[in-house]
Amino acid sequence: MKLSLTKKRNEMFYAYLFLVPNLIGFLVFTFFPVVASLLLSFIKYRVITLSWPLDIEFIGLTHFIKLLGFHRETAGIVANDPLFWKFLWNTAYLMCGIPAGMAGSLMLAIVLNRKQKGIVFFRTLFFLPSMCLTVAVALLWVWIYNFDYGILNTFIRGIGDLFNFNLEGVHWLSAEWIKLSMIIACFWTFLGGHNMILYLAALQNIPKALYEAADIDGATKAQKFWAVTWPMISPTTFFISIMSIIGGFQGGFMFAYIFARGGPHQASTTLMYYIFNNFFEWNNFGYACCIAWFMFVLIFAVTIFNWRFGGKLVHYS
Amino acid sequence: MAPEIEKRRKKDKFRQDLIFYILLSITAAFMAVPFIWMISTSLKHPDAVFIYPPKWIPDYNYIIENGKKVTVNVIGEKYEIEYLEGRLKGQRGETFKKIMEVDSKHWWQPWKKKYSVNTSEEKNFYQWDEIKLLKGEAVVEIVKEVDEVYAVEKRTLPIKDVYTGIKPVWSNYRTVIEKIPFARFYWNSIIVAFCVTIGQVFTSAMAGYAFSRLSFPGRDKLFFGYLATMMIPQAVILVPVFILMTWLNWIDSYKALIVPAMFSAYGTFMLRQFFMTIPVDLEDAAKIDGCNYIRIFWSIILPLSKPALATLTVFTFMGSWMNFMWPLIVTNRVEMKTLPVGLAYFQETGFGTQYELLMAGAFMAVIPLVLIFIFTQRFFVEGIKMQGIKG
Repeated sequence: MKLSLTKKRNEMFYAYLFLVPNLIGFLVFTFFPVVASLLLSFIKYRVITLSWPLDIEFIGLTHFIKLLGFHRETAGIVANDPLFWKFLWNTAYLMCGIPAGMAGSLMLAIVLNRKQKGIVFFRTLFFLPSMCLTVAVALLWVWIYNFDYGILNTFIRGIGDLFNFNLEGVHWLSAEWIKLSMIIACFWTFLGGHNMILYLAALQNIPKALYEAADIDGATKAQKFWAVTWPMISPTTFFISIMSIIGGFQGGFMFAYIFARGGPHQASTTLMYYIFNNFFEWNNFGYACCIAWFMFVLIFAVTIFNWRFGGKLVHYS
Repeated sequence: MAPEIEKRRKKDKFRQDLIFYILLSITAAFMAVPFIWMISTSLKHPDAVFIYPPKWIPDYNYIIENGKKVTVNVIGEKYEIEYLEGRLKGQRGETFKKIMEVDSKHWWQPWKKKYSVNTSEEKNFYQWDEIKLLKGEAVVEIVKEVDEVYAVEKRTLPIKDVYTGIKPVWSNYRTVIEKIPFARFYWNSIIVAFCVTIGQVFTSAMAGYAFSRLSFPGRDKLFFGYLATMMIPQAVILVPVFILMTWLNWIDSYKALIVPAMFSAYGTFMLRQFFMTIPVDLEDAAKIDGCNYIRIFWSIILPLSKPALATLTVFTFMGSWMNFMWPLIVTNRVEMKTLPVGLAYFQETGFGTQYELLMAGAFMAVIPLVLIFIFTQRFFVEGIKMQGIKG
């Protein structure tokens, strides 16, 4: 009896010994900051300083009302913070690139899912952009998007010359086009990356017997895809889409920063960028935390929604 | 009959293969062209960058040597222009000044270098555009006492006659290293990524072991707490951690870049899941032999979970290497910036329009990891697959 007790105590001692480094880090850099962040969103700094003691004022839900509320003006009902809604829209716009990217990755995975000579070379090539430092890739795309001398506009003008149109090229980094430019650059960067490998793994896991059975039934290629491949890879699709949506809400910062510092006319400012600006440029710590918490709630809600309703579409063998 | 079918099948297969390769090549070109464009630009002379239509291999590059003077006569106006430091200096735009003083003796020893930014000079930088008229319309007069190769007295030449040769301008790369503390950025990134990776893998493995094999009060609740925080976006904890860094006076230090990233709920979770799959029998045997937990952890658990550790190592390293926002926030001094932030800074400080230098910098930033990747692909692919199965 006594022996087992000391043994247990011994085990507990070692357990805490193993846990302590991580636990301290977890508490200091994750847990307390989460709590502090929530508290901060109810607080306003009277003087912008970080030194102790803090000169702060409790302002209740003011930040949240500013963020999400509306008020009446002569022109009608206006949002308290119209910029926020604009940036939310920007973020949503950029997330439209997700399905395109997923479709691209899937198609590429299907093409690359063969045992053919030189296939490894192609896989490596397609994977390379996602291996590169993303900032470097963004800088490269700034140059590609250059209006006068960029390779993309040169290509467009070349096509125009070929068919005797007068194509001027596109101002890729203008307010009008920058979001699409970001989507294209992201598409290129992540096309053959992570998601493609996941799809490739999923495709390779489909039992050959299913296709053989479909062959015997005389199925066409399209039929085989929709009746065999698509249901069999649906768990992967589901996983990727959930992860992409979570990432999408937080994304776009780096490309927006390198392309035009969130501009022009804040056309490429995303939610994450707005948080960054509030916090880093304007020192509105409380408001930044408030937006971050709103973003968290939004992500949480969308993810729950996905699990509840998207999960039903998934076929688990 | 049979050989004919065989023949036809072969023909079909050949046709399919052909279509496959053509399609694949087109897509591959789509992927490769930007890279080639980057390399091509990085090897161009500044004046060969802004020509239309752009050329993959410019058919001319400057060969006037350093310090030689040419007089350029542009639409009636005369400017005396001096060729220096790989660029033209003109009188109208004053001088093209270096924005950073660099002790070029130590360019290969980044930690010894001192840098300073002179902001008052930044404005002059853009005036270069005003005198940059050398796009073919300009006419050049070469002053005789300076140039010996083109010993032509006051002969007006079309600008093309000055450009000759197709030599790649390797000096762009050198210029980047001299103009910005590029090596230092590299060094910072390597140190940070290295320490973060070691720290994270180690703390995660230890905690993962405690969660998977040792029992202590409140274990499951604590683990649930870890899981719950995995959902929380980084933006939420950004501000408080930054404030903490300021209180600790860690801004502009490696500590700020390394320490907050050393602990990861995700890594703990992943390794805990992996440790659960290792059979307990081995440990029981070791316990009977009198091994303590540290010994078991070190010589049984860790060696058996090499694949999981490798995966976590690779992903942590990549994550730290690519991380942009956090280093951007906690570094102000130039010499503390990591590579991604350093590149953004490079673009910011007025080199944003010097694409040959930007591309040289981007290429240098990209190439080592690409080379490493080509040789260690297997780890990446296996790691990603493992993630997919877990998810």
